[in-house]
Amino acid sequence: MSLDLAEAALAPSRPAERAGPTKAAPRNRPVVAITAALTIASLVLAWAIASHFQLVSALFLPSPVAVGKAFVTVARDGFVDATLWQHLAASLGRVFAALVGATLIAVPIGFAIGSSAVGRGTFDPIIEFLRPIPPLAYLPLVIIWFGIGEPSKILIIGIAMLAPIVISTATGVKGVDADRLNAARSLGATRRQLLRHVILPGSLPAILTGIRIALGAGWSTLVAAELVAASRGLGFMIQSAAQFLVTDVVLMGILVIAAVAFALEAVLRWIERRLVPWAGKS
Amino acid sequence: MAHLQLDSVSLRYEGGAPVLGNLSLDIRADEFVVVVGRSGCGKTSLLNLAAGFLAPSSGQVLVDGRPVTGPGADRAVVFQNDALFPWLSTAENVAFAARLAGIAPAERRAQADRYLDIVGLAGLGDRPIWQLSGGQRQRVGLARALAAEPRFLLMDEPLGALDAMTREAMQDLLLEAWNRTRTGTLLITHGVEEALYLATRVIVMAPQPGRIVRRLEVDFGRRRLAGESARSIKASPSFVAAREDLLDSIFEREAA
Repeated sequence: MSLDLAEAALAPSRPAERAGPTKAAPRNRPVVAITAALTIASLVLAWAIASHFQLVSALFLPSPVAVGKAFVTVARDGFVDATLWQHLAASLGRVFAALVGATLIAVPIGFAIGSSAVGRGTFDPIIEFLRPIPPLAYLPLVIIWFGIGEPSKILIIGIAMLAPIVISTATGVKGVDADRLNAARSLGATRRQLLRHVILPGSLPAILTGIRIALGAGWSTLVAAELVAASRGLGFMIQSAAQFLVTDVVLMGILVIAAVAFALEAVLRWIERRLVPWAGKS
Repeated sequence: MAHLQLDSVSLRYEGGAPVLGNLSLDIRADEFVVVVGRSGCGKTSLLNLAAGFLAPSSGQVLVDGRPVTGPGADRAVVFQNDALFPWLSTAENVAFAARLAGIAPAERRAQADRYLDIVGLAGLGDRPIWQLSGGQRQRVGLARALAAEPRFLLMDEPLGALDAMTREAMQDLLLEAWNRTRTGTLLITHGVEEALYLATRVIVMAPQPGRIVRRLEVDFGRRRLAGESARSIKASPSFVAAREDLLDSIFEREAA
């Protein structure tokens, strides 16, 4: 894993590369890894120095050691009636429920937009309307409409995930090679078979990219979603800690959220490599 | 006998100048028809009409007297940029028509191996497509078309993207494959030597609107199949004369 994650996330359809190993990347990898490690190390060092010399009050900036201790304590004994793992499980549960729901809805919509003018006219305005609205803006409305239960939290995350998957899927469907479609038709494919044997596999890399971006978007919506009467979850844990000025738990929670996002991204990239090894190669 | 017929077809894209004007062409089983012409003379449009990817603005495309309404498994197409399916193995690409027809995997595999052998790729069935070279991919594309056991084989500059040496090897492969099946073949190219070497009949097209200006029966391919070497054919006076003759008819039209 390296820091080119964001870059790749912004480019759903990677430029065509010739078969064979890429040349430039391996040579740069150690350099990138070393500089990245240096950046992280100097940030932690600056943090440690600032807290050690009390440049900032410990109430506002607890030391790295204190944050580490908070991690151990919360993992073992819990915070606001649940251990770190229970908070994490609650958050992951919501995000994955939202992901499944959003994928089931967004992929067919993306197919409709990508493959027909009627579909595009029907769904494009809705998606373009939803896409730029920040979750905190529609949060109150979701509560008014759907109450403060678990479905509302999942819905808030799910809405944030919808647009990336729809847009990626539509791009993928539109990008299916015309010659491949014609080849299949001249080998006797029906419309259904075209969809099943050419369009679906052909747009799968783009769909997976969309899911990867959506997971990032959903995960960053988590704290907003857990503002709504939650009793568990990483976002809820951070907010509770903030109300009691338990800054070490706040910082620890932020670091855990970042680490989990990084891990999810890595897992999805692994899935992509397994599922669509041809992407970008032909 | 299988008979593919373009009967006074013309083609005009909406609001544009005519691409093809009142053009007629017959292809029968046992024939290897090669169309040459400069770029923009409508060669590819001609093939797209024959394949059923496009419908003529007037005139008819017929197979055995029945009008063509769209692409179909009786007219397999080989594309310039292979158009293979990278999510399938080489063997599954070759057996794609069988897959569409719902044939069981074991039988598909046997069929794929048979056709991979014909195009000289025996043993590569399990390779992912992206690990094949350009020439190998083009062979897979040919094997995929042959495996559909079409009545006609339509090829749109299938060797256009290959380097010169691979192209010569592929020309022999095309000849052998045609000789084996005797499927009526339509091949588009801009290589005059390639046309002469492969064809039983060469068609010369000229642009604005795309039309046929020359039809020429040749037998160099059959001489090759009878065992004569490619170099001796291409160096023979009759081949050189035919080449100059064809070049003249292609470029005369440009001056006119």
